[in-house]
Amino acid sequence: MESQAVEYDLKVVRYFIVAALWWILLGTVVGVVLAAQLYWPVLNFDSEHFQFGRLRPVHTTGVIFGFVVNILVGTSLYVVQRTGRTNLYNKSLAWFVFWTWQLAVVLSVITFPLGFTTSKEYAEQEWPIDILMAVSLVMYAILFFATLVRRKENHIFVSNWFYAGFIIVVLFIFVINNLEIPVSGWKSLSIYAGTQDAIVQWWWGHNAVGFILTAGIIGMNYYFISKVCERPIYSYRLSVIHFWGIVGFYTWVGTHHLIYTSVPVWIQNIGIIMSLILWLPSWAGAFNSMMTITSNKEKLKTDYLLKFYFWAVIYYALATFEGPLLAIRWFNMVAHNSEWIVGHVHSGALGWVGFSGIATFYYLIPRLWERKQLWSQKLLKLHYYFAHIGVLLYIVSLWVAGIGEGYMWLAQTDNGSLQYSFVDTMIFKSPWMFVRFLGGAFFVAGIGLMAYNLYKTVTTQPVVAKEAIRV
Amino acid sequence: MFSYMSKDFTHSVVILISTTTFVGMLSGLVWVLPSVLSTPPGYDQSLAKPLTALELAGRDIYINQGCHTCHTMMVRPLDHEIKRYGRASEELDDIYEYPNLWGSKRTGPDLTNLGRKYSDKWHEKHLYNPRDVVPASVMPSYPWLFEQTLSGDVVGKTMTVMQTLGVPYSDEDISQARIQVEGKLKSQALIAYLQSLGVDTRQLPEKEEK
Repeated sequence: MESQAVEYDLKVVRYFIVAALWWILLGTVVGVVLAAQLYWPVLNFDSEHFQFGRLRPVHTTGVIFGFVVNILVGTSLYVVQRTGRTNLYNKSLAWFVFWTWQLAVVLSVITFPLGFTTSKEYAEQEWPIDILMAVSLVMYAILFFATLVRRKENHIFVSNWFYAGFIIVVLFIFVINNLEIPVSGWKSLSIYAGTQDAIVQWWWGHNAVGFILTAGIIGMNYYFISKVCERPIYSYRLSVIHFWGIVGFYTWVGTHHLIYTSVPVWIQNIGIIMSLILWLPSWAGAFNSMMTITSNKEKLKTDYLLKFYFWAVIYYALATFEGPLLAIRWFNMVAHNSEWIVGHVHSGALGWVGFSGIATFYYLIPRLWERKQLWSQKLLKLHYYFAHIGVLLYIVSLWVAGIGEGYMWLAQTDNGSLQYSFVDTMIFKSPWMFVRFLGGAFFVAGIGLMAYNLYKTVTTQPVVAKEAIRV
Repeated sequence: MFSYMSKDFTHSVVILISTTTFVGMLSGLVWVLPSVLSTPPGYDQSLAKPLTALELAGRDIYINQGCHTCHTMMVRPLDHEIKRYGRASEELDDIYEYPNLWGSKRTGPDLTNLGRKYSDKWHEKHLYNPRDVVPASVMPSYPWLFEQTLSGDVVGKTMTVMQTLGVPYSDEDISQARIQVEGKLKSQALIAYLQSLGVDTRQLPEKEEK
């Protein structure tokens, strides 16, 4: 497949991957701090800038826009070159995208602790950063599609469809959600009010999940799972169904975040029905990846990268089952606003996105730096177990805390009065908040091991020709 | 080179972009744009009242301290929820809410109808150190709100923008805004806002009872 004649542009890919590695570390460390603050409020340090409300968007932005977008842009530029046997359309444009995006993320995590926020979830950036991000995304779209046009392979490989879906949908909805009128240099007002604002916000909110954390990662995995597993995709036809299922249904489900709220009922029902339908293409895709991975059982037994991908797909299947479940009115009545939702997000974010990203880091970094092999297989193994313990503690503790508090909130005595005060529910879930913190800490410790292992790989391992690299 | 004729999305970048855009944005055409472009039915009968300048300054503090990350402002029309948090939210309650502050997580209780439930004194104690009044609370303390004062620079501009968006502020409201806010403690503004929550929408049923 790969022609020797093409000199791929990999330097900018390396920069994106290093940036992604930095942000997964920083973003998850902040996440653990937040988890600790919810158990030990003294850790807010009576600091205006460090308290939970100001710190929370630093975590979500660090992980979503720092880690995930960087690894997606980086891998997309890698995959689009290799599957099209061409180099990038324009190197300067690639560097422009890199630096504008890093500037946007850095400005975000500086301005949030200072209190500059629009309050919109996963879009807290104030208007100057929104403009910077939109420009960066447009330039990235031009770079990606122009490179795709240059390809010397007639067929557009499946990963590129998913990357295309990620770019197009995120760009459109990002802009529409962030329409705002500046009041001052660092303050603006959304042009939408109340229910209308909520509808647009969750149209965006769920597509940050659907197209950054899902479609983008799927695109990445369709390429890298096959590479690590050394087998073709089990069913290429199924991946077509997967793609149109994701693009066709994901943008409809956002209002399942607004069930029982004051938005019109027909809009809530669209979100519910489409969420249930989405279960099908999601599991079709999970099945496809699972069959690809298990087509090389020998490697799956010994190779920890493939094991990471295996469990990523398991968590994808779990999260895409739990999602439709939570969109059913009865479940939503109990779970809405509770810790269960946070647990659900993290079974996707740690289990699916995290494991996929981790495996991709381990695969890609030795190759991008042309190092013979990973510095330590032992540390890789240790990371694998840390990651598992972390995710399990995290989601199990929040199932208990979330379902528990959900029921306590709605429990009534025989004479129709509420059975528990709000404080009762806080006391009930407190120990589980500690377990969640512990889970997060394990996961982050694993990320630390990975960062150290990869640093050692690049600094101590001998340089070899690409063909001799093994991880 | 290869022809762009009779290709599908796996062979043509143009088809890939156009079909993905169309299929992906269909939801926007069907329910997002219609919701956003229409005026909610009964807009004129809304019970909502625009916030005063001081309350609005308090709302800004609520936003920039990130209160919405742990508190919701959306009472669902469910029996247990109405018993705990009061009257269920209605579409017309939030027509002046730029942006909405419904939130998505109840680490602390819902605040939709918080206004006049507790005294100003209670709020002061609670904001200064929540554990002085609620020992199990994990809410951060906000002592700086009792040290920092408001300049009043932004609130008038905010009201001007809201006026252009359709909030019925008079020019006099806007010109008086700075005087009402300047020099006030941030805690005063925030508590004024908290005490206003749900008060406007609460009035009509009481009148009907009489």
